[in-house]
Amino acid sequence: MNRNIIFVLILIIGLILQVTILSVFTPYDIKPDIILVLVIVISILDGPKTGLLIGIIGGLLQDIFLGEFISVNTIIKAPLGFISGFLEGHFYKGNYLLAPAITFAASIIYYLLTIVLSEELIFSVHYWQTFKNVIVPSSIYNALLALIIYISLYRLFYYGENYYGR
Amino acid sequence: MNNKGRLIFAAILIVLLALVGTLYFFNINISYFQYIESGIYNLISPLIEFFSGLYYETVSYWHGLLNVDEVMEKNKRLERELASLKLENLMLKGFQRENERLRKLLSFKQHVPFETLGGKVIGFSPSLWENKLIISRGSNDGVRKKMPVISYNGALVGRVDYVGSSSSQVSLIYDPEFVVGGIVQRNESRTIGVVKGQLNNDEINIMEKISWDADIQKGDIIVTSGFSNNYPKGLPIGKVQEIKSDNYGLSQSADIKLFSSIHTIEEVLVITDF
Repeated sequence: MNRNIIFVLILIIGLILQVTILSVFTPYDIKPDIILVLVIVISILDGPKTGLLIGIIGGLLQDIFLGEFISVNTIIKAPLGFISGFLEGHFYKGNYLLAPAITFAASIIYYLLTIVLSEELIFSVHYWQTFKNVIVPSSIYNALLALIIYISLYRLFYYGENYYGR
Repeated sequence: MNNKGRLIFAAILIVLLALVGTLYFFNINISYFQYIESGIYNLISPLIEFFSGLYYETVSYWHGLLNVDEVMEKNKRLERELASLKLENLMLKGFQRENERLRKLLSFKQHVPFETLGGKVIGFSPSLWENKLIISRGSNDGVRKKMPVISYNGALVGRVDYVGSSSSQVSLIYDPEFVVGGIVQRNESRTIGVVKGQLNNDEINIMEKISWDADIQKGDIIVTSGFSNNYPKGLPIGKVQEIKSDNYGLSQSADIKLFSSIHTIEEVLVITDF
C-alpha cells in the first residue's frame, strides 16, 4: 500500500484516539495534540512534500471535528509540517531524541499561534499563566508521545534506510 | 528534493496559505466545502462511536471485575435508595395531582415538560482551547443546530454547535465562547447577569454585569433567565461560590460553581422542542 495512504489512515486513528482516550485520560488536566505529533514525526521522517500533505490533511480532520472546515489547525499545521520536513536528510534517523525536541518546539509555536489567530482568545488569555500551566506541560506530553510514535514509525517503515536520510 | 523543487513547493505553500487564510479571516463559506466537510465527518464519526463504545465497555468490565465488593456494596446502597425514592415518588404524585387540580382552579397555563432526546457522549473536542462534546445523535434523530443540551439531573450542559447525520458536536457551558443569561432562582432576588465560560476552567463560570446593588448571596442557585430565546427559562446552571466587585465598583461579578461536570458526563439530553 502507498505509504501516504498509510499515513492518512494513521492520522484518522490518531484523531479517533484524540477525541476519545486522550481526552479522557488527562493526567494533571494535560491534553496532548496527537495530530500535531503525527504531522511533525511523519514530516521529519519523510520530507517536506509529505509534511505539507499530512499537515493539510491532519489540520483539516481536526478542524472538521471542531465544526469548521478550514480553520486555525489547517493554517498552522500545513506550514509546520512543511518546514519540519526540511530536516529530513539532515540528521541521523537512528537518533531518537531529535523528534521529541522538534515536537516540543513546534508545539510551543503551534499553541501560541492558535491563541494569536483566535479572536476569542487573543485578548482574553493571561499569557504567562497559560504558557506556564497549559502550553509547556502539553508540549512535554506531545514530546513524549513523539518519542513513542517516532520509534514505532521508524522501525516500521524506515529501518535500513537510516543513515543521514534516504 | 532539489532547489527547483523546493522553490515550487514553497510557491504552492504560499498560494495555499494565502487562499486558506483569505477563507478563514474573511469567514467565507463555500457550500461545496460544506459537502466535503459533512462527508468526512459522517464517515469518521461512526468509527469514533464504535471505538468509544468498545473503550467504555472494556473499562466498565474491568472496573466491575476489579471492584466486585465495591459494586455489591453500591448495589445494596442503591436498592435502599430506590425504596425510599419510590416512597417519595408516591408522595410527589399526590402533590402533582393536587398541583394540576389547583392549576385548573386558577386557570393557569399547563406546565409542559420539554421533549428531550437522550444521547451518549462518544468523544471530546480535539483542541486544547475549545470545549466540546461529540454525542451519538444527529440530524437523523431530529437534532438541529442551537438546541440546548442538559444533563440527566437537568443542569445546562451546552448547546448543539454542529450536526452530522448520526452525531453532533455540543459546545460546552464552560467554553470561553459560551454565553448565557442567568438569573438568581431565589424569589425575593431575581437578580440577572451574563454567565460566561472561562479558559481552562471546567468547574467555574463567571457571572458578569450584575448590578452593583443587586441582591445576590453565596450559595444562590443560578438558572437560565430565558430572556435571549436561545435557552428555555429555569434550567439550572450552578451555585454562587464567590461575589466580587467589578468595573471599579460599578457592577458585581460572581464565580458560579457549575452543576454539570464533564468528568462525570456519559449521557446527555437534547431539548428538541424549544
